[in-house]
Amino acid sequence: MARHDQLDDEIGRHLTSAVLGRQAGFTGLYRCLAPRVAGYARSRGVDDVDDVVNEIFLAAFSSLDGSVSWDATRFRSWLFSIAWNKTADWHRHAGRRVDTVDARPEALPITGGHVEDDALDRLAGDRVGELLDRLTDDQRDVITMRVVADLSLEETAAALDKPIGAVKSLQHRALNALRRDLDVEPDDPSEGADLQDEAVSPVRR
Amino acid sequence: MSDYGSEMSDHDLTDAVVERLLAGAPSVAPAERDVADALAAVRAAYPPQDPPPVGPALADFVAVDLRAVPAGGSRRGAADWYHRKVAAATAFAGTVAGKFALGMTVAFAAAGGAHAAGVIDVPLLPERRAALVDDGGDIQVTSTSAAVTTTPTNFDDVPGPTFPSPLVPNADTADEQASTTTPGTRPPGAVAPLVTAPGTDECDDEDGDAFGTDRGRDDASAEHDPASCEDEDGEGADDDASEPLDDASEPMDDTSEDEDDHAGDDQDDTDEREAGRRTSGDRNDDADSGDWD
Repeated sequence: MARHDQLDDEIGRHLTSAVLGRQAGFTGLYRCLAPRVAGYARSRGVDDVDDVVNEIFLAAFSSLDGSVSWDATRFRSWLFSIAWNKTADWHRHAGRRVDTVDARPEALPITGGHVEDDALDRLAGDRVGELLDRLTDDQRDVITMRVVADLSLEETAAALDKPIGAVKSLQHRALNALRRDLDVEPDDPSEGADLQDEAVSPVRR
Repeated sequence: MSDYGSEMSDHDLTDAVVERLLAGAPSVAPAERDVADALAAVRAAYPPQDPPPVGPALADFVAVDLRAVPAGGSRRGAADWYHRKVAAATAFAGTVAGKFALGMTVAFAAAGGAHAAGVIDVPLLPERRAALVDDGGDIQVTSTSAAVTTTPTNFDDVPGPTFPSPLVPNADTADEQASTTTPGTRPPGAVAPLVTAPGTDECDDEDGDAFGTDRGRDDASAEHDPASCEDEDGEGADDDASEPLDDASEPMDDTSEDEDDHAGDDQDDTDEREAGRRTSGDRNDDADSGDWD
C-alpha cells in the first residue's frame, strides 16, 4: 500500500492548502483525484464526463468546511459520495435531455488509430458492461467504488453511507456472482439463454 | 436477485481472498483466476484518465485566492465559531442578569410590603403612618373630633375617660374640639383607637356606622332636637336613608297640599316647611293628614 500512502500524503498536503483557501491546494486536489473521478463517472455510464467532473469538484471545493478536520481518507470518500450523487443526477436529467448532433465537419469526432484495437476495446467494454449489468445496483456500486475508484472498504462504506459489514457482504456476493457467470460457457446455447433470462439488466443510474 | 441472501451457498471466497482480488493482487489461486481476470477487465475498461479540462465555473472558483477574501476558508469558520461562542456567552450573561434583577425587585417589593403591613421593621424605610380613612363623597367629616386615648391595661387604675364636649355640626367649632392626644402614652407604631364622643354614639351606633358618614345629618337633626336621633322604629339606618327622600319630596307634597288647602300661599309654605323640619318625626303624619299646624 505504498502507492496509497504516497497518494494520501499528497492529498493531505493539498487539503491543508485548500482549506486555507490557496489556489495551489485546489489545483493539486483536482490533479490528484480528477482522473479517478472521471473513470468512475464513465463506469456509471455518464457520457458528458467533463462537465460532470467539473460539477463534482466545484461542489466539493465550495463546500469545503474549514472547521472540519480533513484527511485524505475522509476527503476521498466524501468526494466520491458527491460523485455518486452527481452521476445519479446526470442520469435523472438524461431522461429529459434531447440529444443533438452537431453535423459540422469540424465538430465530428476524429476517429483514428487501429481499427482492430478499437473493435477489441469496444468488445471488451461491452463484455465488462454485461458483467456489471448482471449485478444488482448495490453490488455494482460497491464493485465500481472498490475497483474503479480504488477506494478501501472503509472509504466505500463511508461514500455509500452503508455499514462496513453490509459493504463486505455486498462485495462478497458480487464476486461470487461474477465467478458463477464466468463459469458459464458462452458457446452453450442453453446456458446462454438462461443467462439472458437471468440478466435483467437494471437501468444504470 | 436479493442483495444479501440467496447467493450464500457457494462460499469459497474468504474475506482475505476478496480483498486480494479487489486490490488487483497478481498472485491469486487458480480457482479465482477467472474472477481476477474479470476485475482486471473492469479496471482496464475504466482506467484513470487525464484530468478533464477545467470548466469556467470551476476555474473562476479555483483562480480566486480565497486568502484575500475574508468570508471564505477556515477563517470564516473560525469567525463563525467565535461569533457563536460570544453570542452564547452574551445570552447567558443577559439571562443571569435579568433573573437577578427580577429576583431583587421581588425581594424589595416583598420587604416593603411586609414593612408597610407591620410584619417586619426595616430600619431604612420611613415609619408607617396611621391608617387614613377616606370618607369620600361630599359628606362633611366631623369625626376628627374623636379623642385618642390610651388603652390602659387595668381599667380600675384609670379614673375614667374624659371625653370632649358633645359635638356640634359646625366644622369650625368641631375643629376647636379636636382630638386630644395623650402624648407619650401611645407606643410607636400602634394604631390609635378612635373613640367617639358621647352624644353622637347613640346615632352612630344605631346604624353601625363606625365611620360616622351620616353624622352630619344626624347632628343637623340633633341641633334642634337631640332626642330625634333616637330610632323610632329601631332602624337608625332607615331613618337616615329616608330623610333625603322626605326632603326631596317635600316640595311635591307642598304643591299637592297647596292645591288642596293653601293654594298660592308661598309664605305659609315656607313657614310650614321650617316647622316641619323641627318636627320631622311627625312629618309623615302631617303629610297624610295635610294638617301642617
